[in-house]
Amino acid sequence: MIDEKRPKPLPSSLRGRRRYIAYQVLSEDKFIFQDLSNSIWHSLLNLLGELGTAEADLWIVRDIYDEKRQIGIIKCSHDKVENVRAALALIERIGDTRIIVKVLGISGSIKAARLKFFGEPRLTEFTKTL
Amino acid sequence: MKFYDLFVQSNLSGGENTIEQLVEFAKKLGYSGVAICDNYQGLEKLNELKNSISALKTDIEVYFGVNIIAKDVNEMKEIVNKTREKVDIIVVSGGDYSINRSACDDSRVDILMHPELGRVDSGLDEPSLEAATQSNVAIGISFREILYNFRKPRAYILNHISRNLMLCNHFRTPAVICSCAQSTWGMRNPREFVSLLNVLGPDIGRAFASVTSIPQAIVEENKKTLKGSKITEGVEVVDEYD
Repeated sequence: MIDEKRPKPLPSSLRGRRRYIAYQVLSEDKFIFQDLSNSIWHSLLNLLGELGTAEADLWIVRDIYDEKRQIGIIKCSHDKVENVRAALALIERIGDTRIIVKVLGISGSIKAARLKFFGEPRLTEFTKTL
Repeated sequence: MKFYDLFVQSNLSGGENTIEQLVEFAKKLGYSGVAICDNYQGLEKLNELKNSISALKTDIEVYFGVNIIAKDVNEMKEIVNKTREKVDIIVVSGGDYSINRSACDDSRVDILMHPELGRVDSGLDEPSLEAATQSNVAIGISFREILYNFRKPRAYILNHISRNLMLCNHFRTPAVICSCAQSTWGMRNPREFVSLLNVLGPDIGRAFASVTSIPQAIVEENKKTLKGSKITEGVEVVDEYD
């Protein structure tokens, strides 16, 4: 059945190549995700400009953000990873709270990023214990 | 791979954190070595800093440095004369052209930090960089200058740094990036410095060298000189024979 509300997904050869940046926020005080997201966008737009940010194809993943450990994932284009990392290094505060955005690593998929940097167990580890 | 930050300031010269806190945080960020470079305020303060560093117990290497903020060339040379035999790293704060030029000529200086500070140009020219290459003086990029300036001033600073990096590449002058942090919140993961340099021009290999091999070479050369095994450029005691 054809879903008329959404376009068909492109074949993988036509989709842009992506990288997922896992990051951790070290902060003086607590903050909310929306403020962090605004700070990231602000820093990227300041450093790279509107065109550079558009080319970076940025997406700050909200659902995966772990508020307790302050770790999350940013999706970006594979050839703009260094630009995004540089922009993340230039974030120094959220409101009055001083922060450091520390990149934990880069991955090719969200699943791999969660396994590597969030410390989530693999399914096979559960089956071993059974 | 070993990462180094050769310029961090403690609470002994206007910084916010103690040496212990800075070193602990540097370790957390993945550094193998960090240099505490407080501003020169006389030999007594320098000895106080030296004692604090030697009393530290940590896994990473901690170097003892001095940051020279001089009014003129004579003052700079005088302080270099007084401190060279006592410290691991000598950093000269640039900005004034005559100081930039003089620091590039002086092989006792290790790093000329932010030569573009407060200037409308990048602060370096062809003779300065040729002299810096011959004297093995590294050009320092201050992350603090980038971090705490916004919009137009930051754009100018990035432009000047980018130009200096291009010139350093052309004249084969070593370039290092340092956090110049006055608190732990001014420090960053060394890999982020690599990305920032890469965005400003140098390829990824040279950007890595600015936080790994170049600072390591500076530190090791100075260790040999202070130990007495290096007599002068090209003359070194390799093994003593009875």
